[in-house]
Amino acid sequence: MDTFFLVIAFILCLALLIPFYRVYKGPTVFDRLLGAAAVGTKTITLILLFGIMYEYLDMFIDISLGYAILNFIGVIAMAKYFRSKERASK
Amino acid sequence: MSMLQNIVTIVLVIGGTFFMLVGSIGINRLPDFYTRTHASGKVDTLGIIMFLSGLAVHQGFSLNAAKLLLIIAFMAFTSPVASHALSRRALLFGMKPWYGHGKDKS
Amino acid sequence: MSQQSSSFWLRHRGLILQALLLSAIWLLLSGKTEPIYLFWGAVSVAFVLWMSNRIHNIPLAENEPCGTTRINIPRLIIYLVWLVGEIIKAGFYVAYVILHPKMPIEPMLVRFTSKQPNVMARVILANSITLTPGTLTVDVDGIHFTVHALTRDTEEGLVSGEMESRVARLYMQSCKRADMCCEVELITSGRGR
Repeated sequence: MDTFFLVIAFILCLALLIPFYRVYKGPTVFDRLLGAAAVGTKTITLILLFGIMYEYLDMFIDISLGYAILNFIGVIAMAKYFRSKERASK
Repeated sequence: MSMLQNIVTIVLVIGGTFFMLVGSIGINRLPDFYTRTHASGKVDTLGIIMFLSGLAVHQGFSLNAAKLLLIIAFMAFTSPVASHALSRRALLFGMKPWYGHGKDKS
Repeated sequence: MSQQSSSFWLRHRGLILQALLLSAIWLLLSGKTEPIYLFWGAVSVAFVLWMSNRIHNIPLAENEPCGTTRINIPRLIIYLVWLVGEIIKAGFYVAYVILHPKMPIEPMLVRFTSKQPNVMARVILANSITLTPGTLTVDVDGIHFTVHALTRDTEEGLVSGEMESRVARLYMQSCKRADMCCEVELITSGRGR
């Protein structure tokens, strides 16, 4: 089972690196934000996998819950920021 | 840990990893911002739900499994809100959607 | 439905359910049952209830405070089960579209007017549209929805109004699927807006 989780962690790292291309290249700011949010969701699962592999899951679950909340609040805050910028330029 | 539990865990975790990989590919492959939001908002949500359910099955009946279910509910409720907030801001910002190549398909 | 019911349960149902939910989350996150933790948990739940009770009196839209409507709980559970099925279908459909070599997408914006009974129903509808196959709520302005659809099939599924009648049935007794979604306007080219 440990080998299985290790292989899954490698595949997840690959899935985590792909959106970085969009963060780097993205034509607009929103594409970059979307890529960053996608990286965040994969990070949550990666944290949980590390927790299972180290057999210390109860601490890592709290960390990943906090990470999920921060990811969500970050996206909402960036959306709010763009509204105020749009108002200033009007 | 029973055999059935292991099998269900492996199936759910592999399915979730597959969907998250597809979501990553979709974010790079689709043509414009709104369609990319489809990839990020739906495929990734399904992937993370399947993955965390697999981990909850792996934990069995315990406090950790209940916390994993809490994370699942949180992700399922907040991911549409986040993608809606981003795409609404993009529309108000004046970003035009991509309407396809037009003539080649009827 | 709006008249004051004499039953204590009906009048304070929202508060009681919220208190139960908050206590469950506290127990889940702390995982301890010593009296001191339970005491601080009770204090936190009471504080959050007091704060959110004040929030309930703030209107979300004009003339519509959000704490006055009552949802139908058995129908809500059925609806959630149906929604999970829709999420799974949505994931498979969008994954198929992404992995298809030609990518058969035909994106378009759909504008329609929805006759939902109140604000919370509109919020539920917007979230559900985002979670179901190939559609994404882009803007909600009063009763006017703007939805981005990925292909033409998903647009037809949206306009048929099945989901809207399901959401409206959470609050009302019955409603038909035909009279929910009206004034549909498709924007399929760059000059529509």
